[in-house]
Amino acid sequence: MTSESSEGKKVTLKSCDDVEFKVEIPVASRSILLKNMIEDVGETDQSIPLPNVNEKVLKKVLEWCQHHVNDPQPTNDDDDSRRRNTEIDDWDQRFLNVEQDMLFEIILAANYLDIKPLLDIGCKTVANMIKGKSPEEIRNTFNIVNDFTPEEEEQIRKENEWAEDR
Amino acid sequence: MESEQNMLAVHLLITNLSPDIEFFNFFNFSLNFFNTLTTKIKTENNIKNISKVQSLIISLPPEIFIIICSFLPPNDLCSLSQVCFKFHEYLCTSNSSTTQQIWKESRLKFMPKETMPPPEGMIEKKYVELLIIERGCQICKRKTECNIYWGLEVRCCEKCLIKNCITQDKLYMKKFPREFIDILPYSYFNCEYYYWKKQLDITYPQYCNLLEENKQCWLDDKKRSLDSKKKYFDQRKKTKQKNNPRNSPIRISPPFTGTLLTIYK
Repeated sequence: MTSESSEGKKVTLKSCDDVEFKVEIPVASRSILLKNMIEDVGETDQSIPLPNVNEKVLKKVLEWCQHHVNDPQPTNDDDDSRRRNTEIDDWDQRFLNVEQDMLFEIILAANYLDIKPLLDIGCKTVANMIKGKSPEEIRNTFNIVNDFTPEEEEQIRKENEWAEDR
Repeated sequence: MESEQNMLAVHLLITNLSPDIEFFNFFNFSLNFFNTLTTKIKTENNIKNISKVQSLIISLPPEIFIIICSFLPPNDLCSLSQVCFKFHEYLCTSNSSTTQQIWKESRLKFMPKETMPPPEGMIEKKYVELLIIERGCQICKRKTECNIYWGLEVRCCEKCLIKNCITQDKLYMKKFPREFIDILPYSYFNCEYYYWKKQLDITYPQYCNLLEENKQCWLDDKKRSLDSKKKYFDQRKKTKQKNNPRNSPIRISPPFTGTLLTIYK
């Protein structure tokens, strides 16, 4: 990715820890944020700083963009249809088979960079980790602390029975 | 262990040393102080450790949490809402339109037959929760066969229904005023009208504390809400029967018609 090739124009992205990535414009344009930026600014030698993404995550995200460079760009109006599809293809599944923190960082970066398909498969992966689990199992999966007070737990138990709020 | 050692120390002090009460008090006080201090430090350390290992899922912005929820069926949303305070807040704030939207989306996506909106005054979460028949009885939590009693707004097994309800004839026997019984929500089951006891406990004091001049207004209000719900449930029954062929009258195929007719003759 860093080697300069003759084909296609490139843009330089700079991670928050000051590592530069030279990326072909179609690859970078998988990110709507970058696509709009590149369109607005035009050709430039200056690097684009990405203060919310570190080197490790940016490298991973760009790997995804490279693989999906020829996918059709998602349109705004098929928000619903893309969510209805719960399948994640094999390559994406392998791609997202990472440590939990990395998965969440990819999701956050996809959100920030506005890469909807990546954001979706990331969230789908998390949803799949939640599916079919009890509250305690979900806590164990994600290391979440049960921070309910005993009174709140009692209240929740009641909420799920016959509710008095009528 | 620690407390045993402390006890031992105190015991030694009392038995072996001259009973200097003042010193003993001071010693005890400092011991307590020390204990509180160590527990405090311990808890602080725990909190620090926890926040270090706690997953990023807790700090995800709400818009991402909503996307994750959009891939989850209602049953999993229920479990998720019981995980921690934050998730509970996201999924159970009854006056939040975002919360309503999450549950509604999940219902339409994963319960394609449940296209009817909830009855008047019922929040999406409660409605969806009522519909998840596979979660079993809402009262005894057993995964036995249960029914949704729309009038009582509860999903439970027959045992819990009978245990938690009072029948209409008993209400009359106990001399509850008729105008009051008329505004109570009920469900019809086994040729009897069933009223939820807790509902009675809540509504009857309200009725008794009414000023005479407000009474009629209150009764009318309750009656109106009951009628609107009744209308909704009837509507629901109709659409259900239309969608579910199992509930429609059994059609008898021609060869049997003949034999049945002869039996009837």
